[in-house]
Amino acid sequence: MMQPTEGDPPDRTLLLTRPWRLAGASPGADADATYFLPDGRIGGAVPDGAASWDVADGRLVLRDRAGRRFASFVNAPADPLAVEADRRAARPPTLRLDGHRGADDAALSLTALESRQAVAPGSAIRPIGARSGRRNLVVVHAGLGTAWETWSRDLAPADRNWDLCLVWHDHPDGRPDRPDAQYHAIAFRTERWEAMHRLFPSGGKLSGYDRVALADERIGWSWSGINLAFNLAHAYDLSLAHPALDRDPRSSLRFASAIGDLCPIFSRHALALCAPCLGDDAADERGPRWAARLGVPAHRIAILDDASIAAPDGIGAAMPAGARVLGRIDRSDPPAPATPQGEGVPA
Amino acid sequence: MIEPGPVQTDWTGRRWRLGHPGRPPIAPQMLLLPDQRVGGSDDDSRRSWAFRDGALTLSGADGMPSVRFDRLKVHFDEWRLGGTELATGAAIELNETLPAQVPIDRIGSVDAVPLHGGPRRDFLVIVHAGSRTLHHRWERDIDDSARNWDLLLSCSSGDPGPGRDEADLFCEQSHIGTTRLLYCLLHPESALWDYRYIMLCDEQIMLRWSDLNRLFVRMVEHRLLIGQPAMGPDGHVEHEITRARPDLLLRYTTFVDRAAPVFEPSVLRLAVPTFGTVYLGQGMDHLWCFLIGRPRGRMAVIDDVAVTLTDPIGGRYRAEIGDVEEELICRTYGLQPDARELGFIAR
Repeated sequence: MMQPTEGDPPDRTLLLTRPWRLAGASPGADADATYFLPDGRIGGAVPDGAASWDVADGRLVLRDRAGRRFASFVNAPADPLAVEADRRAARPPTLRLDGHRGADDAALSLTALESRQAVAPGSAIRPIGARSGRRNLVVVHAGLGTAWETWSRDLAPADRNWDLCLVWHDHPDGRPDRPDAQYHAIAFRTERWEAMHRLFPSGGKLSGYDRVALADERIGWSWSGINLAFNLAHAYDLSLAHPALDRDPRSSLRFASAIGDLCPIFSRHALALCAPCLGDDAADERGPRWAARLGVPAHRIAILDDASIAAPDGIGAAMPAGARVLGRIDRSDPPAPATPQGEGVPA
Repeated sequence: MIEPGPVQTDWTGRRWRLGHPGRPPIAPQMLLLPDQRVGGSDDDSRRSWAFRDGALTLSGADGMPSVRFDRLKVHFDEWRLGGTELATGAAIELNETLPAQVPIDRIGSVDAVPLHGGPRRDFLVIVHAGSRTLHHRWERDIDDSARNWDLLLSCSSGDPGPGRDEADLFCEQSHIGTTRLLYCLLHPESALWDYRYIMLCDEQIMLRWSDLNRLFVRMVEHRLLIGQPAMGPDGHVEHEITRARPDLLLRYTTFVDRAAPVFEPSVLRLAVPTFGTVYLGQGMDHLWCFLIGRPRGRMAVIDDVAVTLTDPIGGRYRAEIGDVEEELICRTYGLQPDARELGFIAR
């Protein structure tokens, strides 16, 4: 990787693909693992006062909610000692941006952090199979005799809007004789979230889907329900969604501060940001951590009441403890249809 | 067999009449919208369209196919599709038709002239200028450089009234009505389509500059196709649904009224042709919501921004004439006025 040149505009690709640490000379300016999201928002640890980012006039500019400049950065001069240290350690060059905060001119710096996304080749789980052209993917950490095998096939296979990836955890060779699945992978005796983490390295075979559901093998679902869940997530442009367990009869969906980990549905971008930490957290911390990492507003995270699932008691929830409902889209009957009229009346 | 063909506008650029053979139309002015939704119809079984297995298929809110057209006949350049209603097996037709209303007169296009230099901002506010306009009294509670919107004054009376110089853009065309001047201004090649959102603000709206900043930020955040500020307690309310709810950030609705609508440009492009067909504009707001299929979660009254309507729009003309115009619009398009809340996001 080339070391960026001092004073050059910050490279957008680098900004998007790495977590960054913000450090400042004054209190309150530090933020760990900040993410610059493609739509101009800031995810992960958001520096106090910053709300969005862009590259303007050759600078990385952080802006406040009103669009005013909060801080701006350019590529820092290369430190020969650091370059040499990186070379000796055979690691990518350290990337740093230097800048100033607009309000008080305090010096700030942004340093690119290593991402766990760079999974060592030997540890990645490699799915076997090929994409069908569908836009969505369901991944099941699968063993024999669990509920996923009984999902109702209430759709013709051609009408499915999702591919299926089975990640076998109970057999060293897997069971590749399942025609419903487009991919098979082996994660023998590997815990579910560790397997998911190793399944999604950056740029891997499964990275091109619009939305990905990571389903617990114990949930009850149906093929049409999966279609509907993906359609809802797409229609409302949700970054994170979870099918409801206890369905709210008033709602089509409920916006929430976080979702649970039984069957999270990630947008492509959300998965790219969360994949590095899929294996990191305790069960009750995962959902809140994903929400915080994405930095998305509440209306991008939702519980899907119109597309519910079943699950045995005690294995999890659609919404983790402490999460809040922040709004909803109502179920509603449309108004009575208009009586068919005669031909259009010209003005 | 019907294939999409290389040019999507072959399908999206036409008006369609949907109905059973030999019977009055179910939807006299249906649209296949570019984002695959169906406009000009309120039926929940026909919310989206796509080409599947050699047929143009309409699907419902649940994602399930409801109508399939597999025969296309071109009759003197007019497209006629034949198909089947899947629930009943009944034959159904989708025939190309002419727009129900044509512009009252042909005035030609009008372009706005910039009054000041400086870079253009992201959003546009259009206010009709005259002796009663209040824009020059809007509270300037933020610096001019912090505005994220340009102000365009349109004048049709020959007297723009006070505050002309405060506008960023100005256009003038004497002796035509307010709505028809908009029709001329927003012509297909207008440079105004480059704005990210366009607000048509009644001249009797009172607000603060920061209200507009926040309004546009909310439109972007929530990906709204049409939105409006809520109407505050000190002014008039044309439709009860627009009355401000201070406890909420916004309410998703099926309706946005004509006092201060904010449009995503592709939606405004659909609405503009109807501007040339009306005198008073009553009922036009129901029409534009109907034409875009009242998409759930994409239309909202933004309670976070409350403005004041100082003079009721409907009080400026004889009510019975306005009612006739609204009734004519409803009859022509087969639409039922529908102003409901469909959900909310709390503060």
